[in-house]
Amino acid sequence: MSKLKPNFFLDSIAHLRAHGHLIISDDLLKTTKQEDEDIVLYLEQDFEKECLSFPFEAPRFNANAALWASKIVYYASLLLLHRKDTKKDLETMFADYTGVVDLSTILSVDLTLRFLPQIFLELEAIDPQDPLVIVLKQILNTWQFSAIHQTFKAEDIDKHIYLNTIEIKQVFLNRIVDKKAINWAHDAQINSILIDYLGYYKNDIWKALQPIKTTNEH
Amino acid sequence: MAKNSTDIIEFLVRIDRSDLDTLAQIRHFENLKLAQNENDLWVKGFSMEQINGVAVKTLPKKNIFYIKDSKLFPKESLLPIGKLPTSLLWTPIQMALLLEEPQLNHNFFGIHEAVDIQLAPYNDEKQLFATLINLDSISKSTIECSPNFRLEHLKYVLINNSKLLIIGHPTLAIKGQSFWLYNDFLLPNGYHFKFPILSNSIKQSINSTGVHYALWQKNNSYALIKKSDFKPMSISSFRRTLSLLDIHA
Repeated sequence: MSKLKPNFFLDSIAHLRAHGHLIISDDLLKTTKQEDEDIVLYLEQDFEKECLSFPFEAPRFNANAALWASKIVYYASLLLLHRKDTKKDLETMFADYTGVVDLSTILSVDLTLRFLPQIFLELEAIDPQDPLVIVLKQILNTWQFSAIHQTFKAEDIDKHIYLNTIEIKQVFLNRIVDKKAINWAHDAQINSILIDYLGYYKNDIWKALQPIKTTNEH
Repeated sequence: MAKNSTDIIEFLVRIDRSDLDTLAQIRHFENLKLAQNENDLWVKGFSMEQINGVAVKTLPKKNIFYIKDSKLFPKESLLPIGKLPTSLLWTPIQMALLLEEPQLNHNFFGIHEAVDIQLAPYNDEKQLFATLINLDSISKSTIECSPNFRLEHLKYVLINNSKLLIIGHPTLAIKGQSFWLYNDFLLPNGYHFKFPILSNSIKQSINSTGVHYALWQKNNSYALIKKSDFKPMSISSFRRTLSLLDIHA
């Protein structure tokens, strides 16, 4: 018998990252320690590849954050189509990330969490009353860099985290431009920063982006 | 009633046959006709203007006449000297004096002379096409900190491991030398070939297939750079190139 054990967790995440498809396995709502180690190795490798395109000096890989996020995405995708009596487990499955939120964490989490908005939108379309919808929405509102999406928008953009340091600001604005997330670009503060940021290139890159008129509130 | 002398519109000129060649200077008057007899050449059809012009006045050993009542009068004389010989056969002057092309000169040794291909300042403003920048720590950090949208329309090639040639517009905000595109030549902005008419011949001789860009420098040297060597610019591509070639700018 082959020593290589099937690793559905890794298969699913790797396939998602490579092809953008979900592979959903049956009834496996727990991951083993071995599986966790494998996926961290895999994600670290990919992180290094992505860091090649990262402006400025790339931050270090945060294994805990990456593992946490990949589990969130994995569980969310499983629960999207396959569900038994899991309501009681939601709390433990989707526990909050405990740790410092910095550039390293944001990028490590983003390796997989960037797929969460789509899963969330699917879920919301199927059943807006689903308790999982609230849980995922809360995660997306916390991890706003990964939540940037054309349709989805975080309730309140955390400018303190995303606009204060130049590195995070640049990847954050880049993501908005890449995704053409017009909802995000229409946030009053982001809008003016983004237009300055694009500068001469604005009309070539994103013609639909227009300065919004700020009205004086009385 | 005597006719006013201004009515006379036709003058004749007689010269010796041996001076035939001197007629070259009046050959361009198309209205003239030429005839010859044993010793003399006769040219008729001059107008008053032509007969007073420099071309006629500088003819050597000539006699000028006018004809009145079929008698031949020397110019500015009222006494006829006789009649025009009757046996003259008149031919238009351009038919009578045929042009001859010079024969091939077998003793001409100037064929090895050559024209130096040079650039010369040129006033027309041209759209920037390429930029040549030094690969140093400033350009390296500028590229590595640029957002995607400043890079993705650019293509680059590394030259001698020390310079970057970037094509695309708008280019990066790095000091460098700019070039414009002309017939697959990259010429420094503000310069053109001294003889632009030669550009096709130059292209034929150095880049006839058009697979290269010819990068010209102001010192009139050039380098051929394959078009297919240009790679799309991105931070990762740039970093990989540097690490592959082990360059530490």
